[in-house]
Amino acid sequence: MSNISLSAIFAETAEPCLATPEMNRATIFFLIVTVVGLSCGVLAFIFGHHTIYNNTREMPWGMLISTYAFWAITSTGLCMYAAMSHVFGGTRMGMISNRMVWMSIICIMGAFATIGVEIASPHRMLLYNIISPNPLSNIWWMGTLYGLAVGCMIIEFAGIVTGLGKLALVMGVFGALAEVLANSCLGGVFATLPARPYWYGAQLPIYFLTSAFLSGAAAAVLFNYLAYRIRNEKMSTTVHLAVKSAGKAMTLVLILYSVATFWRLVSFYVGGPELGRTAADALITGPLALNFWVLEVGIGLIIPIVLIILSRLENMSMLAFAGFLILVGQFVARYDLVVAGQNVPQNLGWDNLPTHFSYVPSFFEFGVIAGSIGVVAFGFLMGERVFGKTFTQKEHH
Amino acid sequence: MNIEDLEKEKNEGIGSLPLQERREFLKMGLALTGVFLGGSILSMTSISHASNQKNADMDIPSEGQYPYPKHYGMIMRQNRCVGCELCVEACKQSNHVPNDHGAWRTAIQEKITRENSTEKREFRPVLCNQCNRPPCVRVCPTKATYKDPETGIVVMDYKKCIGCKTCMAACPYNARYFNEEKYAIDKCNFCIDTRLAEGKKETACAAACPARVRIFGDLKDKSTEIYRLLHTPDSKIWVLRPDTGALPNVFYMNA
Amino acid sequence: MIQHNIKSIGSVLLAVSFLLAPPLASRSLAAETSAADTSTIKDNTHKFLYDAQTKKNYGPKADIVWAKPTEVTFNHKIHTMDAGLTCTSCHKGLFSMKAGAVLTSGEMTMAAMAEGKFCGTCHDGSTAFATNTQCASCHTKVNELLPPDPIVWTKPVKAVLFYHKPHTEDYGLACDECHDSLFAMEKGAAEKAADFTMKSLYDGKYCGKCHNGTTAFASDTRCNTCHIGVKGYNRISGDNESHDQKNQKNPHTGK
Repeated sequence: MSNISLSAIFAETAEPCLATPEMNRATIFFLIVTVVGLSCGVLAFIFGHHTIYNNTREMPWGMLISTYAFWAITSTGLCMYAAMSHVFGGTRMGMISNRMVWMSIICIMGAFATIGVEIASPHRMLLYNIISPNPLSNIWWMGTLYGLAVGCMIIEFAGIVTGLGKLALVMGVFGALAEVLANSCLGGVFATLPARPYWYGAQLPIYFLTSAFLSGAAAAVLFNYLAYRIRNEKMSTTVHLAVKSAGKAMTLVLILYSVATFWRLVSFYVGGPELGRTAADALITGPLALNFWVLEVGIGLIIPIVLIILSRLENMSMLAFAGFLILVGQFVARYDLVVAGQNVPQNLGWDNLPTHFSYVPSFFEFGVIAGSIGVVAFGFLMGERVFGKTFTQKEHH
Repeated sequence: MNIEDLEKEKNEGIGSLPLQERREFLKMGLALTGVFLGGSILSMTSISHASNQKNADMDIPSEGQYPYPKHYGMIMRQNRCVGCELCVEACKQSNHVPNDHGAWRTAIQEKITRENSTEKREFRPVLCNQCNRPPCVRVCPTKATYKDPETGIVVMDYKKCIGCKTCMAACPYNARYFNEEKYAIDKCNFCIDTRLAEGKKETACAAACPARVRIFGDLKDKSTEIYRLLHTPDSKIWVLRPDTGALPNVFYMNA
Repeated sequence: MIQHNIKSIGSVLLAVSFLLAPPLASRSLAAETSAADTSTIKDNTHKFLYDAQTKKNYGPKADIVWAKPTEVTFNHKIHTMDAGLTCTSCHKGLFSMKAGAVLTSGEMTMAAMAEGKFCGTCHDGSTAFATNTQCASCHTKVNELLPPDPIVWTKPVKAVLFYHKPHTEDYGLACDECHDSLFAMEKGAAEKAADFTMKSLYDGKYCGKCHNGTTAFASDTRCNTCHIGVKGYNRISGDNESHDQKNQKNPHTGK
């Protein structure tokens, strides 16, 4: 293997037909978005995170955390679908699993980019995560496992492009395991905080995992659709079937996720701590109601179901659009979850506090979000360009 | 055998139960709780809900429930507080709290209720509750915040703080803030480094209080005022947000 | 002989005058709602008719009402008929017999009286009640003299409110029940005193004179009836300018 040069590998995998001026322009555009967007986050290290971001003592987490969660959850979903088809074979999704592995890596990069500029002192993290670990901390496990997962997946992907099927398989399994555990710990970060009744509880990690399956399937449908769209090609029958089964998974999980959302919110109104109920109020009737009803439920759940039914899982552009809307809904759902968990004052009734704190992300926060979208879009285009053949060829094992 | 079933049982009184047996039972219940919550060692040695002792529903510790050699705590005689905030000023000066809006280690909360056109004003001092089962300590990825093994005070190791702010989200008491000067999370530490280390017996806030609202001391030392107040029969004592299970060491009463 | 008269009946008459003054004043107020802002002697006031037989008929029948600097009512009959003063007792150096003359000079102030000028010649505490007592005897609209409510003390702690209105109107206290024995009638005077503390109140000083648990609620209870805290202070200090009494001089000292 070692005597095979890198350029030889790329010659095998690259998709030169994508080197069109339009593609170049799009790639450069998203690169610029990435650089400019993430520069907003870099400013935090110059002027102070507290100055740049609209987080407060009472609401320490904002849109950056929710966006991190969104990308991380999507990454988990993609990775899990890929691993399942790799390991068990037989599923039709195997045909698109290489692309899913790549996009899983890219999505977690988007997540890392976001959290990297959110954390006040990431340089301390690099050192003390290793020499002073806290095994009781969900955050520690989450960070470590996502780090482990991305390492495994990069090796897995290297195995895929170099044709080391066994290595790819083993690493794929480890990567997926790490992703699932990391996702679970991400849910646990919120779920194990009794101070925040809106997050606290055993349902949340499952909810996050459900969300991962939803986002992952939606992303699989969307990115595969886009991959053929930018090539101006029609999907082969096998790819079509693969995307269709991703669409099926998406439909099934969409229903599961809707049920979970419904009962999750209902549970706050039948008793339990006032803080949880007031937080749920924020979504149902309060400051997040527009987000919840229009974006989360309307655009994120109802319209996609209608589109899926109309598409009969055959109309790919309609299915892809449903996937896109689901991702939008999931993005907003993470935001609402993070905000609602904090925006009810813990000492409500004292100091004449409002029932819900107001939080509007700053310009720079939006900039970072744009940057993370830039990372994913740029990564997607570069992946198609450099590894496109790997994505379209038959399964590697 | 589970706690719910036991609760239905008629209380046979503590007299008939050997101390050792109670301790064993206690440990078992807390070990289970501890495993569920991530296995905090601290939770095994703290105040119990299951022990149906004198203040079963009030989170008041009793003998043998102070895990630290010097177990510091504070009791607030809440209705004596007049909101003058001399404590807040003293704390800011003693502990170099930045002069920012959201930066405080201790604060006075105010509640005004109107009944029949008369205003009722209440003040409530708050600070870090130095919990026995501190949610902030458990969530910290780098052990930048931990229970001081000597005093039970929740302290910060600023250089280890990565600024993920999970401890802020985890704290039921809004006791933590981002210190721009230290570029780390900061919190009340009962003046462990600024006053207790110098041999002073009181925190800055307690010393500054003109109404002697804040009584600070070692819960284990039977000669302290806090011990006396905490164990005065029939006095109503409460803690903030007992539902979070954090087992705070800051208590409230009216006196 | 005049001196003798006053000495013999003075004390009784003082009490009578105190009782009579308010009704007299209110009657005169009703009669002169259209009065100009300068003091005037009423239409029928030149009828010097009290008792022609005894020749003690001097003095206008109606009250003299000075509108500046604050409304003050003077009744001739009390001073002549009842107290036995002759015209020349006052109208020979103390007061011009021309209506409103003392006002134009601007010299008739409480400070001047305290120095023994004008009314202070007799109203010195021995011949007649002192000018710093029984305010309402002459100041018939005494409430207009009060500083705007509330008084805000910020020392030794922020902040304490005092409202004159309930104390004077609802509880019927006269000015001299507090001034100047408990509180000097000067803004911020109490705050400057080192003993303006709760301890002093418990010893019966300042508010503690009445707020002792028998006359009024004890000063070691219901703290936040008066204490509003820093938060309360900051809230009212927005419109504190209107409460500010910095331009108000003490009428008794002129400072």
